[in-house]
Amino acid sequence: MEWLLWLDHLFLFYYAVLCAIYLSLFVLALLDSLHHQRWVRTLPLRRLASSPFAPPVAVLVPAYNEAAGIVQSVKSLLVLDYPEFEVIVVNDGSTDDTLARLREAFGLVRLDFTYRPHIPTAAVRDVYASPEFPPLMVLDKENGGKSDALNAGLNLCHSAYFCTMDADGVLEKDALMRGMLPVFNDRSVVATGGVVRVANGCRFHQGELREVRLPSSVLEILQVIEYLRAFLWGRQGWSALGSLLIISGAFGLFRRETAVEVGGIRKDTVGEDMDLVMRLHRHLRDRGEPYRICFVPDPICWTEVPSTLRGLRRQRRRWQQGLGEALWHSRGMLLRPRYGRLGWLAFPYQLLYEFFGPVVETVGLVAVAVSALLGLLDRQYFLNLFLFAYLFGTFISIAAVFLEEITYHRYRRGREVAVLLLFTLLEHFPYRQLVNLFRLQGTLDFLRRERRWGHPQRKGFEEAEVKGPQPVSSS
Amino acid sequence: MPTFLRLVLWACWLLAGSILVLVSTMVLRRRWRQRYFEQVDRWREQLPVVLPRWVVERRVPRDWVRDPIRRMLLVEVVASRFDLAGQKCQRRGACPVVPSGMGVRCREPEEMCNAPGLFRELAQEWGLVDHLTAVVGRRYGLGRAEAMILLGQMRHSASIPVLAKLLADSSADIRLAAVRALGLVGTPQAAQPLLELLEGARLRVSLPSLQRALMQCCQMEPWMLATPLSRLKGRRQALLMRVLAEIATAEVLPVLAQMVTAEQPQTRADAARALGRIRTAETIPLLARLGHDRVWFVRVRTMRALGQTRGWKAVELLLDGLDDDRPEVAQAAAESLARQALPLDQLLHKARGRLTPVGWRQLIGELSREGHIWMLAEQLASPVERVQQFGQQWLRAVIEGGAHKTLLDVLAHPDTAVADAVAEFLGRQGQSSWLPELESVAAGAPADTVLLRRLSRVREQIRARADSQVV
Repeated sequence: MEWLLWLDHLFLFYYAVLCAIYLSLFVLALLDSLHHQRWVRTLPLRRLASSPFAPPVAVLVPAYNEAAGIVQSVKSLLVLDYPEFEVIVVNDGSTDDTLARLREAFGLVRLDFTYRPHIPTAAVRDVYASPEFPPLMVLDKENGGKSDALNAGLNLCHSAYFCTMDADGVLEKDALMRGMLPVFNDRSVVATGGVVRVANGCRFHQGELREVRLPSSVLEILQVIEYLRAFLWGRQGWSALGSLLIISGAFGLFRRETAVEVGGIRKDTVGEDMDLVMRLHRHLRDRGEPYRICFVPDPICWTEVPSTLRGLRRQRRRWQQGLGEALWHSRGMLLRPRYGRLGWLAFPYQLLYEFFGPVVETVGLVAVAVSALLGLLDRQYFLNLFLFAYLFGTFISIAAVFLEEITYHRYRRGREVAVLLLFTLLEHFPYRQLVNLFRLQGTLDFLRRERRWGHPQRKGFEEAEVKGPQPVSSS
Repeated sequence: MPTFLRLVLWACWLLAGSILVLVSTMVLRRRWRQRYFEQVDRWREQLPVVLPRWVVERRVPRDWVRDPIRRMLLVEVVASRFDLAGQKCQRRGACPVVPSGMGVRCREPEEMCNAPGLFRELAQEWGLVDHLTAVVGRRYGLGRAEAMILLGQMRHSASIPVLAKLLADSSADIRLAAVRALGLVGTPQAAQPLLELLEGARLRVSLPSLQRALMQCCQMEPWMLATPLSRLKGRRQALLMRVLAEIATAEVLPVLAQMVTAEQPQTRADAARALGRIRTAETIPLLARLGHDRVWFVRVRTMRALGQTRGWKAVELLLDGLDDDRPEVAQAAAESLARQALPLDQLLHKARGRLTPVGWRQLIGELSREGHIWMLAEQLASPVERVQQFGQQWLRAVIEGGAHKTLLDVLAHPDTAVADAVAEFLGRQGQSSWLPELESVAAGAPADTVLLRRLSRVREQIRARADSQVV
């Protein structure tokens, strides 16, 4: 039974390192977030929004069977505050009436457009434009998946930067402005990402966020905490270290030229967002070019999260598989001095704690439990460790809510914050174990090379009454 | 092991304590925030009521200057008056910025309005400028950046040397704020340190912010940029040229003529942009030269500039651009042509003989996007025979050029007479090579609709004509 004890010690070491990383990330995120808030206050965003020197941005919206919410999403995009932008919706061979709804709502006319694919994509059927809304273009193509749709949009756009987002996402009015702030200050920025928040429960009017509210279902509230933790803590912390490896596909801004240089968005992966960021890092480091990939800690995009366990399972399996694929494709970065902190810190963290995390967690928990049952582990020791794990998990979730509270303060009602705090105590059982199981399945999917694209079921957003509160400002 | 156990237990206590601290900070902060904002709101509401009196008396209560929160509110309000003064006056005769009885007349443009002058004096007298200058002079903290922006908003010439000094600060945020503040001052004097920065050894500030600040400062006197522009080389010249492109007037034409042959393509592209702004006939030869530039994006910019320039000479150059090898140039030319308010028949007449099918389709595509093709289609249903013939003539030209696809959309025209007339026309003019395309459009159309019936009518007519030709 000696080996079981060794396993316990190994698991303990693994967990201690994880705690140290989390604490460091929290300190970095807190400092960075407070500095950012103060800095943004000195910026005349209103004036920047009319600056002629702002680089043009193309918003690429891949849409597959998004008839329920596509018109609302596009409407919210057309009123974005940015000096020069185009919105390119790519209808990826939808089988519902996505295209028909777009044509009807925006009076689209078919263009005799010569489409020249710099990056190969599935066949393009037609290109539409709207006389009424000049920044809008719709590209209708054969189905090829999200990456293929994004590549088609990339071929069509002429802007220096492009923004990827999901068709069901709703951007804040100044999302592009805030997302592009790092680019204004430093032209070596090749990609930026923003905070993605949970839209379930929030109230929208004409595609514009009217009121931030917590969702009503337990599963969705737990995901609110998860999103806060992932974005306000994790991504911000890694960005402060200059080692950001993930920019969410729900909102990311990339320099077009560099993205085309690396061959656009990879089609044979489900984690195309992470894969693109890693390839950008690799490409630019290999060329020895100075560059930055950073994170903007401002709420920028609101997205719908799965409201059923089935949906959540599908989503997490896909994410985990995507993570595995992205890491596999960029495995050459691991522990290579040329990639600096990325190769020595960020990549190994993603591999050991994000990708193999579910496996280690499951094995470790089983080993500790078995050891405790067999009497190999002191009961007091076991209970203390268990208590520590519970308190540490709670601490990081509460710290994420704390970060939200002292910086963005989007949940205005005290009751909502109280609910969030309560759920930080409850999420450890059985939600955490369930998510761990789904991720474990995703890891196995990757190892078995099983592809799970999946398409999330959308409920659509809750429409607020016109008389409701004024649009929520980002300040 | 007991030591380790104790350690874990201590860690648990520490974590529990941290959780408690975080939660209580949140609760207390909420309470404090609520009280703070209630108080601030009260002061904020009070300020517009009492400010006119203070302005008339030229005196402010001491507690409003001493108390940091109230002083900040006062600074914000005074700074906002400078913004307001630049805006169009909403109430005729009465100044929205200064209370009546102060002898201030609110007129456009901003330079004519003496409200900013009055508030500048008041800010000085009330000690607000001194306070902000003192904050700016501190060694650390982002509060300096906020104060610099407020100083800039007040457009106080005395703050220019202070701000200029901070352009070399060790903190990037402070350097950026100094650039922005100088831009907000917006006078030619404020442009000087910025131009010196641009000509200096190392550029350590945000370039778009620098460009914007220079634009704000040189807006009224763009010729100020001429000398540094000819002195600078390479990337920095391109940076400054981009600024000039936004504010160019006819008086900088000689500089632009030099920049047309600049080494950097970006400079040439911005020269084209500047020429487009000027919009006079003298720019055409320069634009014609740029229209044949070896770099494609210079040609794109030239096509856009030509779109802003009126006259048939510009149209001729745009039509040449339609057949450019680079699709981006052709697209820009088509967009420029479609957005010019030209007589459609004259434009199509000029274009028909000289364009390749690709160029023609590009032009028709853009005309369709601007709604011109729908207008032609509407003429098919006109009761006046001449108008009908006109429509038929040009729609036939559209089809012959291979741009029939755009016409299929008109079958869904809300006016049934127009849609039927187009269906009839397409049925008469259509070729059997269109049939697969018609099939695919029909497959995408909703079932049992008028559009579907029209499409099948067109198909039948084309088929019938094809059969009769075979027979």
